[in-house]
Amino acid sequence: MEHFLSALGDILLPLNFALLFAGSALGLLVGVLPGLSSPMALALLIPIAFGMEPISAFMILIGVYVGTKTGGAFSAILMRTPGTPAAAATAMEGYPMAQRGEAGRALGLAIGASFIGGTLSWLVALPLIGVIGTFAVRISSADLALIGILALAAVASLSGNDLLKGLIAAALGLVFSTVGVDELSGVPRLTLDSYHLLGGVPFLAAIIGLFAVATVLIDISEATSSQAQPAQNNRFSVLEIIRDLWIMRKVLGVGTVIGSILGIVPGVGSDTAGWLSFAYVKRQVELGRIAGDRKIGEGVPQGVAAPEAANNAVTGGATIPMLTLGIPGDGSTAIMLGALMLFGLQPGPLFFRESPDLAYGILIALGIANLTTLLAAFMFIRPFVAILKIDRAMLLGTVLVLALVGSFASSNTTYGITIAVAFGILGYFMHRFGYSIPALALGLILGPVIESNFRRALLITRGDYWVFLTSPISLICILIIVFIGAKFCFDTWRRGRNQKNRLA
Amino acid sequence: MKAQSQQEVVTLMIIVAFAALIFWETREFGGATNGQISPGAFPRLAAGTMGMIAVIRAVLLLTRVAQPSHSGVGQWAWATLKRPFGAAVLMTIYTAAFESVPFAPLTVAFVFSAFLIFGVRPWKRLLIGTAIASSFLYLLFVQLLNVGV
Repeated sequence: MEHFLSALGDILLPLNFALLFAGSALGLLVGVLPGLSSPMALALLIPIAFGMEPISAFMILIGVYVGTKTGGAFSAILMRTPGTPAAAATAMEGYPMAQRGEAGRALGLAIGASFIGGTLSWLVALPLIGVIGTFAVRISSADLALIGILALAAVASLSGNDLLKGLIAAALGLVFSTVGVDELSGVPRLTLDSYHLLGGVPFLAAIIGLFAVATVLIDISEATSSQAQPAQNNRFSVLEIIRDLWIMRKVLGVGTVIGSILGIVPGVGSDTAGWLSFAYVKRQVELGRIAGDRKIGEGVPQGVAAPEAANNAVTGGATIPMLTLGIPGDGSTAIMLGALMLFGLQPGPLFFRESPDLAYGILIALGIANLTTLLAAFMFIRPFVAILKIDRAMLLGTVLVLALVGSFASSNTTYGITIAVAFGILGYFMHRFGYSIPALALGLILGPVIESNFRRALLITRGDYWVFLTSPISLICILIIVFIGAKFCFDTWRRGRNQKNRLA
Repeated sequence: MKAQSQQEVVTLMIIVAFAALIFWETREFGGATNGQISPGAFPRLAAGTMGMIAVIRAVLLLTRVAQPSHSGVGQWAWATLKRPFGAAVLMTIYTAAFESVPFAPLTVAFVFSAFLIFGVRPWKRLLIGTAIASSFLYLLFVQLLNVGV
């Protein structure tokens, strides 16, 4: 409680609160603009935030993380172009609402539902983090290594459309993570005799390359120079929105539960949560359990509220493994964990014990960020809608320079830029050939955690590999990994059989 | 075999070759002693897993049990590669010139060229956009963050 109150006091300092609000506004802006994403914004912000105190740096990062979840709905509703993948489901009913002249109501519902989903899931996560955190300190090195491998397997299987390619990407990330001087023996590994590589692959430059440079390269191969025309009538009455949200409390609750649960599972992400809750609304409309004469595709307001509640509720769920085990669930949380490492902190079971003020600060900020995002959304709704008219090609060009100079700022050498460009080109080709970029990033981040715990476990037991099968946690992890593999084998066999049947 | 499958098998073979390179680079590290596994063990384990999965995937493709899961280079309009290629060349020039050319003129030239390659038109918008974006970047990195450029 003492640390909780101390962290709350830190966050309520004018500078930190202002940074949280600024981060939320920036996150909304990033979410509004199609082509920009939360991982990209976080990767670009880390070099800027690195000069601050850790708590202040995380205020702006968390504000951006939460803000982007809400911002994505703006362009989804007004232009049928989701600002973030998480808002794709919102566009299904949000855009038809805008076409019916209800753009303001749809935006208000999205903002309100985002706040409710994010806040409720945070309230659920608070006690769970305490319980899991107490339990997590008893986890052994072997357990931690297997939890890390399980997270990689989960991300590999869920973030792309092909498990094997996801695993290849994750293993590639692990290989890159081993570059540099080995911590246990002091021996240089895979450095190709380059003194630059003695310190390992610079994490920040690699992340900027994978999430910012690669995204720009992917987008410019598709984007054209154009000025979009978002739908008009974006005014709404706050009282009417509150009344609407009260009427929709059941779908909001379901969306929040879906998002909170899926947030805990690495690799599932906000977009899946949004689509699942949209599927729930669709089913309810088909069964006639939602009042009104609108069919799906004609602007059902619940089809905006439920996905928005769900994709924001993911933030609460994702906080649990991130803060208690040091396991990130997606690209954004992976970058935030990487930022913790850059500050010399070790996320994981001992994080709350070793850095309680920062750990509780991050936890509390995640809750307050929902409120600052709500405020920022109401304050800046008009300018953000106007910004939607910005030329996408210009935006991408500016982001490219931000990425390059940002990667220089992270190391003050052009070596950082070289790494960002190299990883950007690698990310571009990985995307084109269907390999998961988040899986590679996660491998890069979890690599040191998995390797050190794997080796420590073997060192303690003098090389006895049975250590990985003796605890219940390890066994559960192995069973889930085996299940993922078995499911893939079964799906591949079934697809092969169906294809043969078609040819016959 | 379809063009996409061929392309995917080629990329998988590149991955296998990369895994073999990791094994070659870590060949001088010793084996395990007294429970202390060698510094080369984990990179070899990761690279071995990567190479083995790539081989499995290639076998599945060659035996047509699995289908290529990407759109395929053959189906790409080669024109869509022009802009990423142009951007890659531009980034390489920017990186090479970063320490020898002052930040402001280099960034103005980069922003202008990037906008040009990305298709910003007409010229008036291109010039105004370059001026605004370059000023923003200069203010952010040089004035506000004092990055040593």
